[in-house]
Amino acid sequence: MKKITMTRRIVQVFCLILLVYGGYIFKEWKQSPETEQSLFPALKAPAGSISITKLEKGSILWPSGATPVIENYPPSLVCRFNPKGGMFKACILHFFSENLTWQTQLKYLLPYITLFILLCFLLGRMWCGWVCPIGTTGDFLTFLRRKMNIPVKRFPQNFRINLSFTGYGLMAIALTISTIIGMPNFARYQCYWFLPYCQICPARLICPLFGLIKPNWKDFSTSITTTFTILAWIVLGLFIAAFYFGRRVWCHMCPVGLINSWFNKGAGVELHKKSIKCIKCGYCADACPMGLTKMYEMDKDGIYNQNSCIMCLRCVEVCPRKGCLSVKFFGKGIKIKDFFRGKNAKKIS
Amino acid sequence: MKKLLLFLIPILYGLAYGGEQIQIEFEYPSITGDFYVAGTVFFPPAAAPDLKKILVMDKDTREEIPSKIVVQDNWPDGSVLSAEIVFPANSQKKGKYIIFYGDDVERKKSFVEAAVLPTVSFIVPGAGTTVENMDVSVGQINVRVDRSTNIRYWWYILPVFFLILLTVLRTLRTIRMQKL
Amino acid sequence: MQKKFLDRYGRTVLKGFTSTRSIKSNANSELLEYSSRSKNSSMKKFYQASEDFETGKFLYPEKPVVGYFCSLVPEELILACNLHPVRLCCEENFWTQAGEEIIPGDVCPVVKSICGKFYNQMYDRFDLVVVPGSCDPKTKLAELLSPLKEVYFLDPGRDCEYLKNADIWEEKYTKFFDFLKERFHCSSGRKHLLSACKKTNARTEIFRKIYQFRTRNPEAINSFDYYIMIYASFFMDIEIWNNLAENVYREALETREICKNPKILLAGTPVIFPNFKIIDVIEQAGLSLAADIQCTTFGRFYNPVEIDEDTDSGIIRALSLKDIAGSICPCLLNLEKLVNLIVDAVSQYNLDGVIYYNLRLCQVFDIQTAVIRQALKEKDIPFISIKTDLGNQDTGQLKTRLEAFREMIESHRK
Repeated sequence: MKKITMTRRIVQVFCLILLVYGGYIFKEWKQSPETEQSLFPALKAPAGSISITKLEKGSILWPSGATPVIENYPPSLVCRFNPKGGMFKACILHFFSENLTWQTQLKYLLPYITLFILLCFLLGRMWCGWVCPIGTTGDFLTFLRRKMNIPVKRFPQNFRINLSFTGYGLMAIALTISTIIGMPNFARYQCYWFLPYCQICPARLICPLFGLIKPNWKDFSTSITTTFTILAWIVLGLFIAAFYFGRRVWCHMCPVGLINSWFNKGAGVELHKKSIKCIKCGYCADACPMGLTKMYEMDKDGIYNQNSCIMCLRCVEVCPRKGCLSVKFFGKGIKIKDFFRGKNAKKIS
Repeated sequence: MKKLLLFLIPILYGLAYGGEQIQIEFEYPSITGDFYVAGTVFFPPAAAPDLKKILVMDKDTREEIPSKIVVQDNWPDGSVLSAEIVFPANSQKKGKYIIFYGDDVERKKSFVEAAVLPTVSFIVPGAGTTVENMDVSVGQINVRVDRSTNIRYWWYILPVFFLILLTVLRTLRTIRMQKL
Repeated sequence: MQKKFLDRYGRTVLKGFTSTRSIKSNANSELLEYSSRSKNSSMKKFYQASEDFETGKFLYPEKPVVGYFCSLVPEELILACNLHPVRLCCEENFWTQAGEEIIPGDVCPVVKSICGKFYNQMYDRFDLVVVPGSCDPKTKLAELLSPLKEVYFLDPGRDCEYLKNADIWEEKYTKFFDFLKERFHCSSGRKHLLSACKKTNARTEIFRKIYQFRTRNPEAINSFDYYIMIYASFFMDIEIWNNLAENVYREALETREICKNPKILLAGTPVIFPNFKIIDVIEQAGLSLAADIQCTTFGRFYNPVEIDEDTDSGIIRALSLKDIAGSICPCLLNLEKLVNLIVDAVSQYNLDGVIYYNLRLCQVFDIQTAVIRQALKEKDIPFISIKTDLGNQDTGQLKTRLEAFREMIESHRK
């Protein structure tokens, strides 16, 4: 009965291992140094940029462990704080912040942006539910809560909408600061303000732990680093609380997820509802980790993709009426339940 | 709300002014007793407005160490580019030192080389490269590596626009479907 | 229940009502007839159990027995406390007449027969009776039974909208669970709830198989067998029932009979054992009952418990969703759902018509008839509504009506 979630958990763990420990496994594959030769040009800080001088060992923004193995951006997030620098380098917000500061030419970014948009167009926000290492960590916290028999905290709709505004605010602030410090007149602030969101992101303190590396969890050398340290603690506290008492509440305000979410309604993965089959049992709305209710409320046939949906497909899984909720890929049916049930599916139908 | 403001204002104040630190490394000599540590440090543009804004600090105790600082070169905007720093140390204490600079730093202790003592030079790990690659005479801070124009990356614009267009169309369809 | 009421009137009520006593010693003679019609040898145990239960010889397990009405009462919570749940819904003419002496007048015959059975000490073995406030007669029934037995009144409310009421349901179910734990001195928790849900989910799985099988081949497990199985599930131990039902299903898979009669769907009032008049008439009219949407069968068994949060409150919430939000009880606000279900079932299982069965004096079922008729008329699905009581007087007339309905279906097919 719970085949989709089983698959999702396996995919999550596999992706966690690949993304976090990929740096150890794929040591050999290095970016071609000749920019013009490779499909994805190497993006580097301009020579003389102040921001790279600050990336000494022990600095907040130092990719923990050794040197980053591959200077590359996949379509979406893998943290720069992964041990060994990770298989891929950074998330989409990191990508934008960093290159706004470096003032990289647009044409060198285009290959990465294309890949990102292509994947988002095909899969929507599936990243959040199936791959994201931080989401996986959070799901583990939720699992712990369930084992401790602590009831879930359900947040009201308005609260969740406001959370997404917070996320947009954080994103706007981070990108604005990154743009400003890229300007020549403000370059001297780069040493403090480089990658402002990364400095408070919970992943900064969580990701190094996967490689048993102590994160740079405190830096009180200057007032700015002190502020960032304290902010990072507060955010980490919020993150843990959000995942421990609710389910995926954090994902409402994660700026990376918000960027992915713009593609959700037009994504190739479509969630369809056949409303005549619906018995309004509320299983789907109750099981939704993001607390969405569209699939329950919708009274007509059609697609119920929503921006906040993380495509965990839990609603499809729990629906007791076969054919009521279903997943389709560009309108073509993927009968997930049958796919897993195999031959018996036809017998029982 | 007032409490929030009271909480926020110090943070904002702290954000506006900040100091920056440089770690220095040197090897303790075999001799016992006092000696001087000297070396040249390069600063980012506009980071250290004048030599009063630079000081040497004990890393563990956070105490200021008396130091002599001589400016060697200035940035076009008048801030310190490089400075020679001398300060005393003792081989028995074996402390670690950092150089601290920035707007909110104020040097209070200075010293004069009274006795003739052996001098050990320190190095700043990771720095140096900063300044060498800069085009100082123009006053330009960000120097971009000149990469020859290559049209082939611009072709990516086509799929980007195509995908965005498709996404927008499909999104509109979904919204229409959900509305009716 | 309200203690004041009991203190003041309890004894008087008891005295007045128990003066007359009817005794029923023989099992229903129909039972033998039905069992002889069955083609499935594994069904014998179900018939045996039903006969035992009717005559009071049924051996309950060695644990407290809790009676309950309606599928709005969560069976899993009772199971989790290591109690034996028995559903007490009863539609029997004999007991209705006995109940007539206690509550005369135009009252729901189900409530009458339940009262008749209780006041004639048929259910003495029970430690607790749980009565839901699903409809008005049930609510009053809670008061009528309170002088005899300890009664727990569970009111889930009439609105089955998930968004508004989920928290309220969770609270009410939790209170009920706490009451059970306190009353029977057990400290049940997550483990017990999970194992109870596992049992009912296994039952759901088997029921679904049988239900789907009957939509294709209604003759292999005929409707008498089917409803006797349902009746046995009221009082039998759930695991024993699961095993027996599995056997029945396996045996049925081997038979390859093709059903030629028009297949129809039976909706409306639940059909409970002695009152098999309607099924008998349907069979005689040459129709075969292939699917049904009733609260004793579909409403009770079809939805599994989907546990998302496996904490105490999460499980209880899942139960409340299954039993209340997914309910097809006509007392709740869910007419649209019922119409959708009927239309969907007809198209999905290729059925030929719908019979809406309505027990006389049950108003909620009656009110729905017009809407369902109109909705099915739009979809061009043959529909007939039958309104009858527990007596056998109108059998001939019903048969004529259903035969006419059959002819209508056959002409509709062409």
